[in-house]
Amino acid sequence: MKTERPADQPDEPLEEALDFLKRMPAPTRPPELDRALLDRITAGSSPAVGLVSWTKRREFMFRLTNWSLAGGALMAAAGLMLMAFLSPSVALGDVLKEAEKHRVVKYKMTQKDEVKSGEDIGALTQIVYADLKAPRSRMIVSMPGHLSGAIDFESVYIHDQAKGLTFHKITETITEKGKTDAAAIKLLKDFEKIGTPRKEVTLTRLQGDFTPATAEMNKSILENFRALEKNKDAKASKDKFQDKPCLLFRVEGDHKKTALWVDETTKLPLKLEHEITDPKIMHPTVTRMIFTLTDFEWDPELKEFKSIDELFDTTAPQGYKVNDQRKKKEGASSEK
Amino acid sequence: MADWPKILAENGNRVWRTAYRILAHAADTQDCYQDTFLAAWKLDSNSRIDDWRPMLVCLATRKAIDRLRQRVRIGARSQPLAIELEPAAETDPASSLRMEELVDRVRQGLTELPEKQAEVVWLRLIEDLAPQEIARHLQISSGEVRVLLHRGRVRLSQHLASELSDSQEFP
Repeated sequence: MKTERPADQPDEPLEEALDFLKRMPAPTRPPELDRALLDRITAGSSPAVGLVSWTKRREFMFRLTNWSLAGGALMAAAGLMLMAFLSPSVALGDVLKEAEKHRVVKYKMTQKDEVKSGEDIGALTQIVYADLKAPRSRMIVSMPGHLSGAIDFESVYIHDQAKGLTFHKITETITEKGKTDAAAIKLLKDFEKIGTPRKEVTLTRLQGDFTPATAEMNKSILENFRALEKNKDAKASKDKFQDKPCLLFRVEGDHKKTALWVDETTKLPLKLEHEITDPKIMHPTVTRMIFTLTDFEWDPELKEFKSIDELFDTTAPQGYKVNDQRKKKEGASSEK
Repeated sequence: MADWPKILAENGNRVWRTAYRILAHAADTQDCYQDTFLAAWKLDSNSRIDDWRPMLVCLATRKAIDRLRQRVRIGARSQPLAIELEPAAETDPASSLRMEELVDRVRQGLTELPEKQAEVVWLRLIEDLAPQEIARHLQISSGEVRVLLHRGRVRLSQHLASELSDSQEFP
């Protein structure tokens, strides 16, 4: 039988619980949290950056980095699109064949998230290089004039499935303004306490999944393309991309939509848009994630890299602090 | 612009602890911690803040309880609480388990209180903020703080008693 304690009687369980809560210890907060927060606060005045907590952004980034692995599951989603249309359309088979001729693809990936609060958190744009023959990718985010113009910030993620490794390099360089402007110098002085300007590399074990495009994360993009051949639910139509006629393919599944625009002449993708609304794989504050891939370059000029292996090299450059989190339990952290 | 490195250095631990006590979940605490300071940053750009500590504790409490509500609503509150008892407190597993359950019920009870009641209960009974400080930061009168505290405490006790009798009835 259910009984309720009269409100004026001493409530020992409540007192006990309150007393415990008052004494309850908390784990040490991660040191990078304050740094990220200060970065956000300092950059918050820029409308392009928007105002969202670092953890949320990290969660979004987590999805994004997973999606970029092996050239991006988005490319795998493209595979899904391509293969889905193979039976009715020769053109899509040709797209796959055309893609197979190349070794590396470069594209711009923009991630736009909608959050429950309706707050505009800004888009995140990255340049991605994906190896078309091996499951590895390189993603670059550049933020020139960060910290009120005092530093240029660059973040490079290299994911290498064969090595089971994620390599993350942060490079902060003091700008001319950071050297000469009194306010910028003062700001940098504050940030020196937390290690700015940083030159550091963090190595972590590769983790994540490839859903919803494919679970075959140990395969290259093209292998993923082939594996996704069985999807038959796609719809094809004629469309225009930048005023030029193209083919548009759409696939809709549970909580996900993919659209692929293909150039009829070159038979290569022009744009890919993937929308996710699945609450199971998103941060609880996010209602929709939209990834857009554009500006495809097939076998692009690598400029500062002598070879493809150098593009995906996971060796820390000289002068970078290395934080090897794969060996963290053994206490490994070294200055290279 | 406020001296944010200093504000973080002076108040970071307190805000972190407040959020963690309510949420008992590391990732949620990180989110709440950042949301709190980002909200304070926004406030600072609109008005002058003289006393950062109680203002930040109030903000952290509000944001953490909101997040807790959200978690309960989506049925994800079964995250491990990762509670560690202090050395002088109960150390046997049965006591620890009982305490975890009690504290979890208090947290759930908090989510069932009206917003202001929950905040006042937490700020007064756990964070030890003075009624005047709570009144100032929640923009209510000290009398209202006392009323909300009394009502909140009664409802929390009733919630706990009801939950406990439920669990005794259906072990």
